[in-house]
Amino acid sequence: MVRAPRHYRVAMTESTQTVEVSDPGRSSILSLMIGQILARNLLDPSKQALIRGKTFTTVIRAGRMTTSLVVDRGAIRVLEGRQGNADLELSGSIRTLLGLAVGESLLKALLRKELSFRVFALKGLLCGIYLTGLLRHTPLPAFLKWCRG
Amino acid sequence: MSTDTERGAGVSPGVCTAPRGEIVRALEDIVGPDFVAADPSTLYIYSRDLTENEPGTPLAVVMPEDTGQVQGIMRCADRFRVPLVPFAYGLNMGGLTIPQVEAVVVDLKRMRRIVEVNEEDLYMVVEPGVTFGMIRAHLDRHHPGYRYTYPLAPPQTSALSNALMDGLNNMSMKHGAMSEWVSGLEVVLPTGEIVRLGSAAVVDSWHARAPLPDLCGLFLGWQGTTGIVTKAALHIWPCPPLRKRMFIPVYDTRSAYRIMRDLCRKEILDDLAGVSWPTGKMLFGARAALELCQGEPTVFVYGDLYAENQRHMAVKEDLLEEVLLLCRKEGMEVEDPLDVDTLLEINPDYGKLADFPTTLDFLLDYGPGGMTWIGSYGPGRNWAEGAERCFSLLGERGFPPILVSRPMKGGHFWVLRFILHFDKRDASDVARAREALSAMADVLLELGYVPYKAPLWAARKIRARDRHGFFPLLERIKQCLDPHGIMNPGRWGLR
Repeated sequence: MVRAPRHYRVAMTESTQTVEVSDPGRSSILSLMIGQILARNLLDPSKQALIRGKTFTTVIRAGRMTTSLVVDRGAIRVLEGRQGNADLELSGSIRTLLGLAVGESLLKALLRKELSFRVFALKGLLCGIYLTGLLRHTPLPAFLKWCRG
Repeated sequence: MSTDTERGAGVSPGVCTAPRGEIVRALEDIVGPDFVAADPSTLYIYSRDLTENEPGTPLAVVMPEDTGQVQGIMRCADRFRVPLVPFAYGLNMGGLTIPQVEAVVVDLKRMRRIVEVNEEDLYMVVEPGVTFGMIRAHLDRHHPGYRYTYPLAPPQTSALSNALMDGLNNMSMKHGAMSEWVSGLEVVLPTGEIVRLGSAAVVDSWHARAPLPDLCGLFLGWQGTTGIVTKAALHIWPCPPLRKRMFIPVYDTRSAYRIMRDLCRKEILDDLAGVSWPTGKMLFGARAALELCQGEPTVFVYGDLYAENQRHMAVKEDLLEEVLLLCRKEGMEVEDPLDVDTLLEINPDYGKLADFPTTLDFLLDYGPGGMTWIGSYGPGRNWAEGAERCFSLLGERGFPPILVSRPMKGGHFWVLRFILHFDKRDASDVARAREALSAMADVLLELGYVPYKAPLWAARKIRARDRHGFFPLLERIKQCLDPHGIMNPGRWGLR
């Protein structure tokens, strides 16, 4: 068998702005898809700025799959399963997450209970705002532009 | 197993005694010196394919341009008693164009005319060198309201060979294996006569095989042992303006079968197929060292909805959701359908699944170079058991469980096709692949799944199960059509 590198970078915009999917062969399609969404969206400098200097951990659950996003001062690691102490947990179907990524309404998804958040720490709520801003392909709303570091 | 695959095992060698030079000169007289090759480097290319099947060096390669030249080659072969092996692009994945005895390979790729496209009567007439890519480009450009059916295979494969060999394409779920798409043939017989079969035999139209006695069957599925087909009429279909491709992750094999079966019976999809998790993961960007993660879907069902307008599409989408809802109520775990166009917005790589024909580079570009499969058609009732048992066999031998499947002809039969990569440079790895293929063939036959595009080793297993006089009849027909045994001797175990 040909071995893949243990890590690969799905995108690199600036040296500090990367999305790294850990061990892609052993990552679920959820991790791979989230990695691709973030890699695409972080090409937008305003989204890069959103996580600059921030540190938080988010767990995303879809179907039976779980993936963790570790945001560490501008870099994001996508890890399989639940890793570390999460500040926030986001749950929804793959389709809902995908819809969010291509600009479908977050509010509608929440009202229809297709998407739910669990906040584990005080900063979790803020993390949720950052995360949805990162996942969505649309430009950042004005208040998030104000939030960015 | 290894003895089964030995080249020419059980094949009586031809009685050709003429020197190679004399044969080559005779062929050059027919097609011109530029289109005959007998140098080692050219022969090497024609002597092997991607698969584990033993190589076999041909005597020469000849490239005819039209039916008249094929007739000349056939007469020449009959005179010299030299076997012929028809060849188009060699991508059959069963070693089917590797000569079993010293033979002349007839490479038909210069015959690449789309002779006719008849929109009114829904057929086109093509030569053997016409590829799926050529057909797609031609129809899109000159007949945009019409479509043919395309495989999960690279565009540079021969549409005619695919039809003769009972391949399966993206509309096979609705309309069956590709031999059922044939409405007429032009064939050069081993004795040199040119015949037409189907309606075109008696009227100036290639619209149907009925109502004449159906002699197309003498050349469909015979692996080139009864003649060389130089033209085929193939069905085309109107192409509705709207299309949506859906991708549905399912969490276990048995649920995947039920979902495909139920969707198939609703008659809302033009294509419906499933791939197992390694292919799904590769499509999502993973490449090697694949592992199924905890809670990850094991089968990815995909399908095409076609519609005349948005209202029509909405009705079909509702029906699809209804099927999934009913399955969920029965306890099956299935994700909501993902629109491939949405996936494409995230990553253009999903385009590999968006439209056919397609080159799945992640399956084909395997460094050490070996790729093979066993594909089979069988009853739906044993589909899940067949998939699960073959997954186990593959796992025990260290192969990832790569499966491509589809219900055929409205679910009247199903496909189980397993793909293996191996290192061609490593004899033990080749043996491992052979052993896995052989074990899977035994399981599949036991469950009623008969290999298609059967390599010689699989043909022997099929033949061993004949209890009803099928192969003796095959022998008699072959003897009648090819009295000197010059057409592709060895295939199906026929002389």
